[in-house]
Amino acid sequence: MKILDWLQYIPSEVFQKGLNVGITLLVGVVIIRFLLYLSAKTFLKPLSEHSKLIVRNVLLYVASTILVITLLRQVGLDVSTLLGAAGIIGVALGFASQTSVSNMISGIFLLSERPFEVGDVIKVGDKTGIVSSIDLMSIKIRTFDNLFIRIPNQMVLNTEVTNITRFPIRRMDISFQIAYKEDLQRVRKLVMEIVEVNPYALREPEPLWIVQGFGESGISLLLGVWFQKQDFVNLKNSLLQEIKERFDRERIEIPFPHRTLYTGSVTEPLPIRIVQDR
Amino acid sequence: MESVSFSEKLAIWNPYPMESGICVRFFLGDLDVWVERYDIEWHVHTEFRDKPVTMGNAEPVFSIEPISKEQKPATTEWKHYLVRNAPCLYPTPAIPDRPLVVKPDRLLVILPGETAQFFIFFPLWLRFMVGPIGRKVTPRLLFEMSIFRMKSTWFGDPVSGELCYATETRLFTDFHSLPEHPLFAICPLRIRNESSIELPFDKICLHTEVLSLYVGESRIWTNASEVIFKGAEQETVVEPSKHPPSFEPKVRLLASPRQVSDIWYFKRTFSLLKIITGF
Repeated sequence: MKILDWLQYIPSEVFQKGLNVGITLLVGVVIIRFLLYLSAKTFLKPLSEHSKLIVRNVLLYVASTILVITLLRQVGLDVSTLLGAAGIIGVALGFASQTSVSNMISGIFLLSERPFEVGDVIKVGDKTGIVSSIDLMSIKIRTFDNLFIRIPNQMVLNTEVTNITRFPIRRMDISFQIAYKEDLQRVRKLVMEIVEVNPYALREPEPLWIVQGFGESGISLLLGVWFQKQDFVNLKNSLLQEIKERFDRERIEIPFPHRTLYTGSVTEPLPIRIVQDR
Repeated sequence: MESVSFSEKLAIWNPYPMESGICVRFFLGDLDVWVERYDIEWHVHTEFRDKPVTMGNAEPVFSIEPISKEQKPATTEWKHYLVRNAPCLYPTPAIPDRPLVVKPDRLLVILPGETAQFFIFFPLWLRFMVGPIGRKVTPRLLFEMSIFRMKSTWFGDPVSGELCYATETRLFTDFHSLPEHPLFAICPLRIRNESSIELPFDKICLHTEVLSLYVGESRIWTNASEVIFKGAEQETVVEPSKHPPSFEPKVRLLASPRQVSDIWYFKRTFSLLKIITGF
């Protein structure tokens, strides 16, 4: 009852405008949501996640702008005057929000350049995760330990970004050492046998085998094995385990850092003298 | 194994009606399959044997044996399928689910203007289906998998190539020397070198998924394919025949192709050019 009393004090013109604005806002939001739903079910369906996101955002921004202009007109504000003022305000805001504008421009570059898409696994700086969205201001990634990270677009554009899953196959490089006494040919044959029976390793492109150099404790070797991008963890775990087990069985030594001390002669033992006998 | 006729060997692909409570073990190439039926439930366990049978050496094994409950593998990896009105097992041969990169046992160079006829011998897949006795209703697929351990390989460049299975084969040129085996299929392949350069044939990507399977009196076949090589800079045309193979008088269709698309096949064959010629 009190509310109705209070409404009597509102001029009928203002009340009418308010009602119109409310109805327009409600209908506008419903139409925008319906448009987005309709587009998702029709022409967006065959597109990639990345393209869907771009088209959806463009639709949303355009429709929202039209709705805001319509609402302003209903309130009685002259949009052309407002746009003129917006130029001056824009300059002022531009100075005040340089970072945001920079992020937005970077976002446009990211969307057009497409260094990665939604669903790709990327590495930005020291953060690795699956891209969950690419927006105008930032990208969002989900890390493998299930953390949500928001990275500003400007930072993405200025940093080195590695797209880990862009290509269907990858090469895993495994560096290891063997003792100087081992036969390199025999070790190579054994390792290639291990790779051949591993279900995650591809036969072609052929595995890479490089004798990298002579280290302090042993001979450094590099094994590069090609695999399908989704088999990274399976290949790494199985291959390293198989190499270790096979080397143990074949008595091939994987050296750990050690130093040999000589007391002037290679063959003679270290001389020990008992100074006190208890 | 010598005295067994091919039609007897083919019995491995016959329907197998199973009473409820019965368990059988299939020995197929490198694969062991245990199957048990309990009313509307089918229990299946598959395992690759530790020592794989090397293709081309000893004759791979294939047999079916009823086993007791004590002989069942004690593992939690059994899969249970619920299927009503399906007391009969239909083991069916199938084409591998990916293309095959076939490497012949020797390098053969096809000179300009020459045509060569080969027979590619490749391992089949197993499709386990169940349904009513007598095929009144189309049997339903439980699962499918390779009979032999197949190594994955990549054909083409690392960006736009495709995932395949690697297989080695003897390069059979004479139809009569082909082994008779129910776990392998034979793809007749004719290569015509219409270019002015030599064509070293050391590897070929065979898109088996567009081929059908046929069974004859002594072998399992696919439809024939023809490769026309016109030069390193020209498109190589690979054309699978739409007709059954003509090397045996009577063949019947065993399985339709996984994919029916000539355009797809043509598009992919372009990468074959690089591999065959080394360009």
